[in-house]
Amino acid sequence: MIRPRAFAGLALCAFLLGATWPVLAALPSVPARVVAGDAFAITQGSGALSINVSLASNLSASNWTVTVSPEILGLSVLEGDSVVVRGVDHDAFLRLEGASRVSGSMGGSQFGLAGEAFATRFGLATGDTATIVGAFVPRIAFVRITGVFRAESVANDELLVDFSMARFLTGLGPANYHSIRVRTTDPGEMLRFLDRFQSSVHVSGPGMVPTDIHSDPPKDERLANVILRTGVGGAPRDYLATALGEATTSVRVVAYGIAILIGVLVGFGVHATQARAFADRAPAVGVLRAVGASNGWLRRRLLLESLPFAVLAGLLGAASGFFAGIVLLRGLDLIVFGHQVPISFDLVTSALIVLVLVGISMASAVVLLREALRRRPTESIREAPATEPPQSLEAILRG
Amino acid sequence: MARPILRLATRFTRRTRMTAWAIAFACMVLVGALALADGLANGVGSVADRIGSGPAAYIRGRELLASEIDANVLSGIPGDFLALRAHPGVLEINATSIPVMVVAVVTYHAGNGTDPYPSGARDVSLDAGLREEIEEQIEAPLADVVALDLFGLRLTNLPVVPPPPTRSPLFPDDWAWVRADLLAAMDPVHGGAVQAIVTDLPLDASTVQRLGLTRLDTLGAVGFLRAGVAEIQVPLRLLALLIGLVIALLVYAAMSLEVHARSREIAALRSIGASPTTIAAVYETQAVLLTLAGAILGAALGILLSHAVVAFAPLFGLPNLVILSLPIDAIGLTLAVALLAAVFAGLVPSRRAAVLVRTKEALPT
Repeated sequence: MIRPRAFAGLALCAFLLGATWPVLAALPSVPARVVAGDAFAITQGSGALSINVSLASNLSASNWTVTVSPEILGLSVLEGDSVVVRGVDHDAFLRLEGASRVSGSMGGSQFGLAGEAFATRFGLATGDTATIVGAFVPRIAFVRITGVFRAESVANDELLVDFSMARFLTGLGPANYHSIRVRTTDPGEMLRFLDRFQSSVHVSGPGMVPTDIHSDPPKDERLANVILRTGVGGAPRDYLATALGEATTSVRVVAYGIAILIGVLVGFGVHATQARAFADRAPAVGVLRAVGASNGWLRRRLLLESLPFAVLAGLLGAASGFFAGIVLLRGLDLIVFGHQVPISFDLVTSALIVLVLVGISMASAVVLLREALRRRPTESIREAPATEPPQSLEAILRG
Repeated sequence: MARPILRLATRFTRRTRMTAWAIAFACMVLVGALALADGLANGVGSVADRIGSGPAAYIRGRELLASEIDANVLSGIPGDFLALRAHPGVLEINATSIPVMVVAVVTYHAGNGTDPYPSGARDVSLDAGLREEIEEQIEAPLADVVALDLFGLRLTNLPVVPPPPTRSPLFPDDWAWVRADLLAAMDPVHGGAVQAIVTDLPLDASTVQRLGLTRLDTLGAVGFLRAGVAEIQVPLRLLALLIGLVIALLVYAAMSLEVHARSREIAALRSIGASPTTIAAVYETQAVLLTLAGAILGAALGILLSHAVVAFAPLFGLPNLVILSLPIDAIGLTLAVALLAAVFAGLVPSRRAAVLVRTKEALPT
């Protein structure tokens, strides 16, 4: 009962979902990836300042840690674009990220290591010098690119500098860091160690429920509200954890909101396509009813006919949309807050796209059939299309 | 001829009215999203200005090191400021080559420039951090003279003098300081030009415009937020492409159904002398009018939606950082995308309507 002409429209709708939903689904994880990546992240708690050289060296000395990377995060601007400048111990950081050298040197006490995507974005190469401004205090500094590295993480879009430069840019004290990232063989032991060490920290990581040690949980009150009310000095000590939570929630709300709106738009598109395709089959419904087909049989028949179309169109459209999304994003080099918009194959999202398309298609088919069943079979069978009489503006205006 | 076409094109059925509402919804999403993004950019800018982003640096272009401001115009700039010249060079000291930033800072007060330090024409002042770095590298006391490679030239036997007595907190302590005259003598074009003007108070807009300057936020978090919000607007504009496709699909389906449902009427029009062009014009015009009505309604709803979001945001604890203005650009973009989609999507159904009678599909039995 559904003509094959509906297939192209359904595939186009699935294409739109395939090109947008995987990107939108990946966006909420970006803030957490910037701070933690796929390692355990220890950030400052609400109590005494704890993310410092002492904690980092004690963690490094423990036999259950594989890699310990203390880090300072700086939000900066280069050539008018937002960039993340990260103060690191290059050896620990590159080991933790599994990064490889592209050019230049990866060592030295004073360094500027550019991620490959970062270097490409700004046309920088080893030996070039870039102007960087302060992160949380007004500063002007020049960073000489001593090497370029490649990483499969967000670090590929970042600039790594030595701690001395990072402290100059952020105004952070000489013994403090923003976070310590850890790869460990025993997360439980790490938590017990932090407890014994009297550290006031928040800990998060893969497969771990975010844990607060000697610290209150991150406050619900929005950081922006606090800063607007009391100034920068009113921000809580654990502002990084609070900001991370807020950023994740905000991005999630926006991304999922846009995804739902696109879903509704695609729903309109599917219904319009199927309505056009079903219009040619209205007489067939009348004939089938005249020869004794029940409403239930017609409904089942229509759903059975629509299902393969919807599934096939969903699979083809979602796959082609996904690849078009990759090409489009790479071609346009879309950057959001200093990082390339991530897109990777996600089975759950892909399955959801097909399910949503099939669901909308089935619901639309039922609605269309219900409208057709309202008419008497003889009306449907007539040569002349039984359409609603047009209502001209002239007729409306004349009453 | 235009009037009958318009009359026939403005006959809206329940289905076409529903299509107009669907188009309105799509346009509402686009206008609302773009208006909110613009409003957020305005809000962030306003808050950043209130918080204050530290001393202002003005450059030409996007990168400080590539910026070149004519030094002759500096005396005409009112107020106090620093003229910063900065170039990457290589210092050779104790037989070791070290890449350094070579800078010269001239202080301007009421149009008069003074070059306070170093005092000697060929002096090179190594700042404290740079001294530590060099000593760590060469593991010996610093020599009294250095060689400097800059602009492809090499100057030798330059006397080393102590670090500058004062330095703006804006600048790090790992620069090599020289006099501005030395740079100008080495390369009158690149060495003579100033890379940045640093002031405590912003320059007036007319000076900035006259000299073709752009402001460099020295507080990165503020600039990061400003640039980040601007970056978000790019993918949102891509949303217009997607919405254009959906509108095209909706218009195509609606107009196809119209042509399908009115096939007998089209045959009647043809039989009383309407040309295929006239028939096509009726359905093309209907597609455009339908979309225009939907887009205008959607734009209005989008503005309402954005104001509603801003009004209700504080109820959910969200900071009211959005300062809305009339989203002229967003409305223009939406109307352009919608109309373009309608024109293209209406072509096939209207052409089908024009040739329908020839295929005898529409002839009464």
